[in-house]
Amino acid sequence: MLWGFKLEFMKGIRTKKLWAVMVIIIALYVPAFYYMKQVRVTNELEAIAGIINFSSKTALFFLGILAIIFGAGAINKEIEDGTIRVALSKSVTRLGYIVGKYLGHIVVFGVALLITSFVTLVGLQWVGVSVSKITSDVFLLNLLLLLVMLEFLAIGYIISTFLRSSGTSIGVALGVFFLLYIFIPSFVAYRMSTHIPSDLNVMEYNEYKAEYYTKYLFYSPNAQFVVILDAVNNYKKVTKTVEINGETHKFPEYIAEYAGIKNAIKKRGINVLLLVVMTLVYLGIATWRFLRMDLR
Amino acid sequence: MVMITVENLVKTYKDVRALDGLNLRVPEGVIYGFLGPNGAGKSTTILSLLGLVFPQKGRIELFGEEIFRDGKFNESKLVKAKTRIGYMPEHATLWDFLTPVQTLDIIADAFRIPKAEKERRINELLDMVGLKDVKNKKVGKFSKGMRQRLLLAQALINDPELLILDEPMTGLDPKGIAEFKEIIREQRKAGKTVFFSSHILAHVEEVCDTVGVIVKGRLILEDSIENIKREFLRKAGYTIIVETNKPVDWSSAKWSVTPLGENKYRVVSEEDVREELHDFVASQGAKILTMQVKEPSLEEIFLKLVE
Repeated sequence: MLWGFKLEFMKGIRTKKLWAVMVIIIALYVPAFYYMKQVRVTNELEAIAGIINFSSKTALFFLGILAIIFGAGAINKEIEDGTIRVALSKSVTRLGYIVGKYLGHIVVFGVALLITSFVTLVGLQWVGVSVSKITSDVFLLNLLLLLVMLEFLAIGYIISTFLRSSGTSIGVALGVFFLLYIFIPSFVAYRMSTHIPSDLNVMEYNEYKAEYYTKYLFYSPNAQFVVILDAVNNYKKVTKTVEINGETHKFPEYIAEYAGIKNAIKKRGINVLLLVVMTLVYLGIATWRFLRMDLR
Repeated sequence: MVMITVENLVKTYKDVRALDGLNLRVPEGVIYGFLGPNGAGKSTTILSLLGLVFPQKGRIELFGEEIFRDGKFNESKLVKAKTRIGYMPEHATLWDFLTPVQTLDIIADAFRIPKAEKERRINELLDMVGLKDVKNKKVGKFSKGMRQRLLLAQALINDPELLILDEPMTGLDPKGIAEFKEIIREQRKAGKTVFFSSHILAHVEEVCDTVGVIVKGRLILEDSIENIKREFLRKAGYTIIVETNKPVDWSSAKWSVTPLGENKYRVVSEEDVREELHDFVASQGAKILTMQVKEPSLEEIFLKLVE
């Protein structure tokens, strides 16, 4: 296993993979920082809200695509090149090889996101935000992004072990990505909107959505990520008094209070667990297939 | 010891039967040429030996240990056997972004070769395959021939007892081929066993002790090159080119004779009739100036067998 890991890690740091991941993430963050500076964000809570908003939309989309494409070429490209025949003619097991390879990918993505976390903090400093209170949140957010990437990577591995052509598998991977990222969640969201009771407040709505997405989108990493981040705020109920036509009316109002990523992870522990478990399930399917495939 | 034993190996890819009850036996210390036309099953056999494809039936032993029986590999025995094997694949590239030193270094790590031993071995091998001057150049910039040399070096990194080479001379220039053959001969001198597949007969003929011919997934012939030729001559007949000092009337001869030019004839018979030819020519008052038995090339035998 260690040898497979070392090989993949060496490949990772010597090829442009690691740097490509970092440059893409950083290139995505730069406009976000620029925007924050333009609108004069100096409050750390506004800043982290901006980063979360950006992560759950732009970064998640691009990193998800990147991860599934990496995975989709992980095995079949090596079969095409013949490098896997060289590697597995040595005294290594197939299981050790694929697990080592996956661990190598984890480290490559992990290092890339770690560096990105530092870049984010530097970027926020540049914007004028005091980062001492939100440092751990930035790291936790990138850790969640890493879990999402690893699940997409494992889905890519499945594609890579079932399709022999790396070219075809990239096309299929993109199809699967859009299915998991847009089409199925949109369909589930629509179904939810037809079932949801109309009198729910924002907290009840979030709970209902979390339950619904956990039940029907447990296999979609981005859906779980969104559900987790929905819980970064706690809501405080206040009563608002409004005067209409001389009469006083009282309405309940819910004010969002930032509670942090740690709080969201705690609250949505089941969804974090789903990210880990489904990654293992997908990786298990890919491994099952890899242990049985002809590598010619 | 028998290094490779294959019994009734069957491998089918969808509707193509690549191996059809293959039997093979490679003893220790020989250079075994595994011959066959394209698509005969040579690469499938080699990949099966290394556990890279899964045959459906049969049995494989490496170094006397059973590593495969009826659809299942014994993973621990296979991994153990692979520590004693060097394999050079056909149509493979190595990692383009690594240098030859880095490539051999990481491959040596798969065999847990100690650092000092590893460094010595890498230098020795790069020198042997003629890549010493480019040892720090990226493999991506290598020519096909240079890649082949590096593939051979990686196969030798663990000083294997059994060297399995799949079409190893493809892409090499004549100088490279000569050097390659020399390396193979050196392996034999060192007591190693070489299992070497090719469809280029000249390569096999010059370096191999024993030849196995595979056609449509079956081994149709296995013997030493000398025995194969002798047997072929016995079955296909002898062709003798005779040059005499004056014309000879062959009408009463019991062999098939074709004139080739002035006092030159081709005699074809079922047996070696050189002595009888002397007597026949002498009975006509003539003398044989030159006589030559035309040996069949392995290529001719191979083509006949494949037909």
